[in-house]
Amino acid sequence: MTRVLIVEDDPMWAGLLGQYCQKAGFSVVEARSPQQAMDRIDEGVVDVILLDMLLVAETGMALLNEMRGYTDLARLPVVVCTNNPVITQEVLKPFGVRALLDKSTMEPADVVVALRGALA
Amino acid sequence: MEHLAVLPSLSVAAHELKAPLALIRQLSLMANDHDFSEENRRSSLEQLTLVAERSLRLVTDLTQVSHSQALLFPLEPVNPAATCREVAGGLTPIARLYGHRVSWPSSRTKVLVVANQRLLERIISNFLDNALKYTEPQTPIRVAISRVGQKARVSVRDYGPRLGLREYRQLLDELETMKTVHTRPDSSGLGIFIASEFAKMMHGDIGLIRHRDGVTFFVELPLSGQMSLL
Repeated sequence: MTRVLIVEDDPMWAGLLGQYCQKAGFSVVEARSPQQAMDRIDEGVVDVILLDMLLVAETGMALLNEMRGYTDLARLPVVVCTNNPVITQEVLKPFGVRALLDKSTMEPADVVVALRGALA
Repeated sequence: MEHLAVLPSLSVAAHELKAPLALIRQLSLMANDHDFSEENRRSSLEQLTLVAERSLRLVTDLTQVSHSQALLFPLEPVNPAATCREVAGGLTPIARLYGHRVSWPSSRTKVLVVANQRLLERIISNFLDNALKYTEPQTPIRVAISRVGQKARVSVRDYGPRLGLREYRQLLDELETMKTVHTRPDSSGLGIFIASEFAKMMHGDIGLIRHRDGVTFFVELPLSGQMSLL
């Protein structure tokens, strides 16, 4: 079963995204911060990352920068899911981000399509 | 005497309102999707109500800040411990959702302040929203009441991420100059700004204390002379 790491500090959003993923047949691991996310990644239980950008104390860029420093992690697919309209996919592409979802307009199916597309 | 508030920018207010509205939309999509279990849909509806109520309180606070006239918010002796109990009643479902334990001051705390009960409730709620949102689940949050000279202090202590020295100084500066207060990346600081405005309407102040393991936000208000009757 494909394993999704949901990096999201809001428990309601984490719950929603987790349910979308589980319904689509993914198994879900959660992290609330870039540090927790790295811990999960180091455990080797992650195939794709669903990343919120505005987290407690740090932004998702902290995780993307950290991952970029390692050859194997730089290839780990990432889908960004954010309320922040300023970020564009062009800015995120060098960090291995395969898709960008806008929380204010996305549908549940968009999350699943984006994750499957990132893994393809 | 009319108090003219320096209002936060439209973009700050828009950012703070957009986030819960996006969540309300997703929760309603889930609640309406019959492919999800009855339990999931019921949970979405409960969360929808919580988020909608919080958003309404924010809009109400913004309205009150923009129309801050003393006559609208009469001041009287208020028992802050009783006010905390009022806040506790509304906050428990949210605290449970975020996995937090909140400890409250004893109802036997014998302090009265000159305040407006509704504004004080909103200040305490804003501090608690901040603590709930930005700290790890299962970490305690403590609400306490103490006397500081001729004032009473109601404080909310969280055990969240340590505030860097630079951020701490920036926060103090922003509180001083009444700009919006950015406590964390996702925070526009609107809640703390509103708390600050409400405190000023009651001739009080808010402040913060940086700890190695978290932050305390507090509001200080004048003690009531009716303390002697307790």
